[in-house]
Amino acid sequence: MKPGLTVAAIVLVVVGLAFFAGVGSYNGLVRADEAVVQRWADVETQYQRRADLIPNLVNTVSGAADFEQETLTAVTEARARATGVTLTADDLSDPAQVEAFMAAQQQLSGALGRLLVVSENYPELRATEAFRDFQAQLEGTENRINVARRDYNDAVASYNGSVRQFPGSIIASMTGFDRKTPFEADKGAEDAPTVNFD
Amino acid sequence: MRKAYFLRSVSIAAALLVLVVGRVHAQVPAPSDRLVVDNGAFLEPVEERALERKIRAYNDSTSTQIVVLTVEDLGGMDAQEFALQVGRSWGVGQAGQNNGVIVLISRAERQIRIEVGYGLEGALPDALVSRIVRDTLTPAFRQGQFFAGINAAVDLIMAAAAGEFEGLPEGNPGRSVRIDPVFLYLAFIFIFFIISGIRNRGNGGGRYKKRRHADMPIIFWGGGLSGRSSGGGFGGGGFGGGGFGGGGAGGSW
Repeated sequence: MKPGLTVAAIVLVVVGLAFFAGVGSYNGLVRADEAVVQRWADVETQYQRRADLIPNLVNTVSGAADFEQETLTAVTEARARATGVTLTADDLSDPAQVEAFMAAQQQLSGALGRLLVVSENYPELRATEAFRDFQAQLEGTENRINVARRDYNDAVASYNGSVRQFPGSIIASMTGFDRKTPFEADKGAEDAPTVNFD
Repeated sequence: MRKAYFLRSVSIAAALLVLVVGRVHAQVPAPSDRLVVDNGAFLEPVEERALERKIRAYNDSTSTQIVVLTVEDLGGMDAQEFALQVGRSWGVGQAGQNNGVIVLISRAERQIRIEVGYGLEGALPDALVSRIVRDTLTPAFRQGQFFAGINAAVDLIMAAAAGEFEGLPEGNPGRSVRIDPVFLYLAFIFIFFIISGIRNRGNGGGRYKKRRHADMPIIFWGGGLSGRSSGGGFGGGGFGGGGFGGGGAGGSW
């Protein structure tokens, strides 16, 4: 081989390798990004599911004689606030927006938790099949929210990993992939409503 | 002073070790080829076999997969968490249908958890599952009637899930193999150089000329690009890889 040809071959190899590595890395980023968006959609679905349960709950509970109006109003208002704060997949790179969303949802968790505590004072309400079904649904929804949030955090961790590690970091900054925000473990998590069948 | 410091570091190290070990999920048992796994010794062998037969027949005809798992204890885990990990790590239910159900019973904590796969959340909503736990399992367990309770609960689950899914044709669809473009490129370059090397030698020396044909490197591709590999799992009614999202209900007796 002539020297010129050898140099050309080496340049070809290096450029080609860089190009293919770049394409592979970009495709990996796209896949990780898709996974995050998908997991985020799951989280949103579960929060929506919880919001959808609440009108039914309010009906069930307000049927009980003189149930504390304050508690009920707090739940309804927290629900209105929570459904008012929306978060699109594009906002996931903005920690402030994610935090605002989580704060609104947490307020609703708190209001629901209080309602369950207050309902202890209404044994005849708690004995009804409708209320028990509602409790099971609420507990199931809180479970699903936790699972969806954890899956989302896992997807974000793997996405952020590929955005920050070399060589993905170069491709990411060239093509505009930003870090995404995981959910912080919330302080209210351990107060999530629990069901006691005794 | 020194001793206190030493003790504290030891206890911190121990706590870290517990954390690390806890993360490995050592407590969740490995899947076997059975659908009734009575590690908590709630059932007589006869009862276990009868239950296994019934559940397996249901699995074969409907593809809906019910697992009954009893354990000595949950190893400090939440019953819901435990059941979810079993469902996900075993892959209970069929992939794509996500039609697995896990009935988990723990002796030490007296906990019951019925975990429902994504695909069955419509047929087995939390409220219904909660009623099964409340009205069927709990009262029977309180009287020590473990088989009767589990059997009745399984019947209710089967009735609710009936007609949701059809039986599946035999055999798992394989997973397709990804080929990294970088690897492809490297392989291409490698072969290119081998070919040109041989050509050069062949043209120059004449010594290797006769052997040129035998050295053709195309055989390197043999089998490397075939697109499918078998999905694994054990024969006849193995776990299919169903998904779980935290649906279901639980209770204690």
